Amino acid sequence: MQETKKKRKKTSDFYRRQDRWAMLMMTPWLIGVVLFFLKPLVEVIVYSLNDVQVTLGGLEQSWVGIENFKYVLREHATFYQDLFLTFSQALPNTVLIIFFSLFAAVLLNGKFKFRGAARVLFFLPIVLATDLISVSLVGVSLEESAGSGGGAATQSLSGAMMLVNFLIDGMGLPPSIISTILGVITNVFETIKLSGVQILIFLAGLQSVSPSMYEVAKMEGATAYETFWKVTLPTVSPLVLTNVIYTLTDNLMRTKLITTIQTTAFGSAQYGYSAAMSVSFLLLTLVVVGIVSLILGKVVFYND
Amino acid sequence: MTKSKSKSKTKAPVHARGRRLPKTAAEWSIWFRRKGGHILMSILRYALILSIGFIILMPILQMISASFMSPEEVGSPVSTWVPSAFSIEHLFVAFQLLDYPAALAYTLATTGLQVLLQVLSAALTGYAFARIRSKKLQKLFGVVILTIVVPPSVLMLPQYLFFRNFDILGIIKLITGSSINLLGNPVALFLLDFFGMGLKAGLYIFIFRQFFRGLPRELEEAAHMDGCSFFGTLFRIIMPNAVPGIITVSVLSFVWNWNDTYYTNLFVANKLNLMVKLNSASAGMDNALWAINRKIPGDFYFQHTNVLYQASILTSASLLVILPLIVLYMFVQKRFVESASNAGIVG
Repeated sequence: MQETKKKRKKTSDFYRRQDRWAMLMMTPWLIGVVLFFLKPLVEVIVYSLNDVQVTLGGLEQSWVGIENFKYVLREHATFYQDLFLTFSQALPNTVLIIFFSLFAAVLLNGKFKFRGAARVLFFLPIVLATDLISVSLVGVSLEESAGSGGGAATQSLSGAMMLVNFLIDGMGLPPSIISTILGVITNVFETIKLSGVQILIFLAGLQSVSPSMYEVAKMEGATAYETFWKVTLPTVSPLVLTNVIYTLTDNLMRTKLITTIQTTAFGSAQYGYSAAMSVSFLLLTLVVVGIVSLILGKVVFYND
Repeated sequence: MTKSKSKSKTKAPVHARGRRLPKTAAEWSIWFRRKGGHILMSILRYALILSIGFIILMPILQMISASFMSPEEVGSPVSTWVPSAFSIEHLFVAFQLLDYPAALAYTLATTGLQVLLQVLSAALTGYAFARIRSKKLQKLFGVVILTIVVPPSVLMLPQYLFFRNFDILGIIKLITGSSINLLGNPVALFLLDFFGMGLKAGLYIFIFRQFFRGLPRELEEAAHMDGCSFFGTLFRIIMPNAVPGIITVSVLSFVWNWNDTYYTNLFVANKLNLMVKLNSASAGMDNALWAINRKIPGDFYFQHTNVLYQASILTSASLLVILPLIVLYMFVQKRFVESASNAGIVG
């Protein structure tokens, strides 16, 4: 009798104890957030509103208001264009990557021979998620264009030109559409390279769709096409949101703005301008990600 | 298909008879109507997988081919893929250029420690977020999402200054008279990793939280009933169940830290890091190659100002840098693919 009472008390104790430990486990992260995230965030906003000089004694700041922003957005030679370019490239890239990775995940989810090998191959870009490969590609194409005449680079260039001619002459497509198509084609490698994690997430989602759903769809006489749109897509739609946000931020982090920000700060010691660049980049990022997730949040279907 | 045909010639067992190939045209058309779509689909599937696989593998194959090509042959239109004469000169020079054994050991050690710290901090934080009952603290998870969304480059300047004049509440200054400069010291990265603010740490916390939320609480409760201590539960019940999540995060963390140039350039301009070495070498190949002049045997081609030669050396050096990743992937690929597709990324 006494034993059971003790046990029941222990159970309610259990949650309290778990809470205490959870608090403790969270502490390093909390310290980290304050010290390495919130504090720098506030500091960078303060710097962006000040004229900052680094001296031997530390930082010297004098209030200038939004002068830094005015300079960075209006007078700086490249920043505004780069900022615009970053976002106008990141958004279509995200769409491409999402479509490709969903497609690849569906492809890899089916039953076929060598499925394991195919998955290993498709996840390879995650492991080799490095700019080194494109560096070496540049190296190779450099070799070929510098080499004696007909290297593969010139060959592929003439191939592209032939395609352009064919599209313009034969199909009468306007040049803007052709340049988009060509952009997609030349981006194929980049898209595939950046899709690894997204394929992984979609594949995990597809595997969590319960087989009974498919069975029901089949019993009701749905075609494969209908099954995809009515069963598969709604179930993975929360992951579309996750993936879009991940892809968008991942794409934004690859911008060359980072180099501009870095050289402005450490190259030419214009810390105030650099901070203003950082803050405008951050604000735009938050606005774009916020809008995208708001729109997608309305579309997403939650099963629970 | 030939198999089923041969079976039908010899006395086929009952279950195989339906699968024999049709003989007349009419039979063919019926057969195709029944199976054609299926076969077309699988041909299409394999074609797609092969072509995408080729796009993925092509650059690596190209790197390997360029690395083993003999220097005289580079740029020759005759041999684009398979060199007619193999040579390890490119690799040898790249090996010397990177000071490979020392740099590899150093980078493996620091990256290994980083992975350990990141996995530990992300697992603990993720577990805490999955289990804590206080609604206020649960809302803090929004901050985790914020750390994922905010590009690390935004915080570059303050973090740089912080680590240049590193101090813990003025204590260090009190003792030694001045703050420590942690720039160029991997300790700065270890600190970031331990406090859950390292490279893509938010994502790892997210993965672990989703994963732990998928584990039933009753498991821990039962362990508690049986008198298991909190840490006993954590390390004997929770962690063994979290192995897929740990594998996924470890691989991702290793790979991304290994390939990272942003943090290493900012904080660890250490000469021993492979990535830093490669970057500085590619910035000034002439000088970098000239510096190792004496280590190169006399009968080598070694035209250190030749642009083509430099490009080939750079390609070989890149191959050497990603070689450990390829080896790692070969070892863990099966576990990684399995755990990643089953890990609770989805929740």
